[in-house]
Amino acid sequence: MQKTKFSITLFKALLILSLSFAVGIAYLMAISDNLPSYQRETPPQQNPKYKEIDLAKAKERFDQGWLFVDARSQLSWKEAHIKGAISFPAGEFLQRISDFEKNYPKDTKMVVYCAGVGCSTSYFLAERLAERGYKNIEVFFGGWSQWVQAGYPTEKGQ
Amino acid sequence: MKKGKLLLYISVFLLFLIYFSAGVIKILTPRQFYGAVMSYEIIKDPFFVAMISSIVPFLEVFCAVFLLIPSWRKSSSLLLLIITLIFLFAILSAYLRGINMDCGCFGGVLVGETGLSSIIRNIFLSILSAFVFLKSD
Repeated sequence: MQKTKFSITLFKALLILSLSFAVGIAYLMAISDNLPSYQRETPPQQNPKYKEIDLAKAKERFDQGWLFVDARSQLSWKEAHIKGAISFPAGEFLQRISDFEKNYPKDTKMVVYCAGVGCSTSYFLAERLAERGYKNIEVFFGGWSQWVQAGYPTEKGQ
Repeated sequence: MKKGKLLLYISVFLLFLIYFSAGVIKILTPRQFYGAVMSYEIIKDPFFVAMISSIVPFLEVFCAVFLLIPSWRKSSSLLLLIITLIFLFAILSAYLRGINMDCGCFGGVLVGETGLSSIIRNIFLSILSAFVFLKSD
């Protein structure tokens, strides 16, 4: 009896799950043009504290030798990152900022990035760095996923 | 009305209010929730991030609505318990990996970082969902 009751509970839960799945997918198809697709070409609104740049501009900055700052977790950075990028997990800002300031003067030209289009940690880090007086900050909004997809240089962390 | 029944109704009402509003806000601000899911660095493929960020808000809304129907309460509270535990795991893992970001709990309306407060809130919601699950017929 108890077993049947629990089976009915599970069955109903599956029905709710299926309904959510069906409506969610239909919704995704309806709004997919509004989602920050990884193929997006144009940058979103510009912030006065930092510029947002697309993949082509990020590659240009890479070739020009700008500093790339990886705002993802240290673990993700160790797995792989944009070649030459330094790790600066946004959540460890207070612990790491003094070392960063010692090594990089306020006029350092840098590109901050995180996991992919729409991720918020690069914006968080850029905002905090701008507050500390860094003036040449650009956020690569396509992030790691777009860089990898383009086949641009990457390396593993040590 | 018995004290236990009253506590159950209060819990159901609270869960309904929290999950219905969280789901609706996420549906109305899809970009913010997409960004939050992406920032967790748990799912890395943009297509799956889009799928998850589209399904979860509706799951929250439907679970909240079905909580109000007594014969569906046990099933919806079970689902809420499962998704809240998944949220808790995601927030805890982001917190431990030093990812400081908007938890995405309330889409783009209420911004809350993945700190101790969101961990405590999710523990509280898990306990509430488990209570409703156990007390429902």
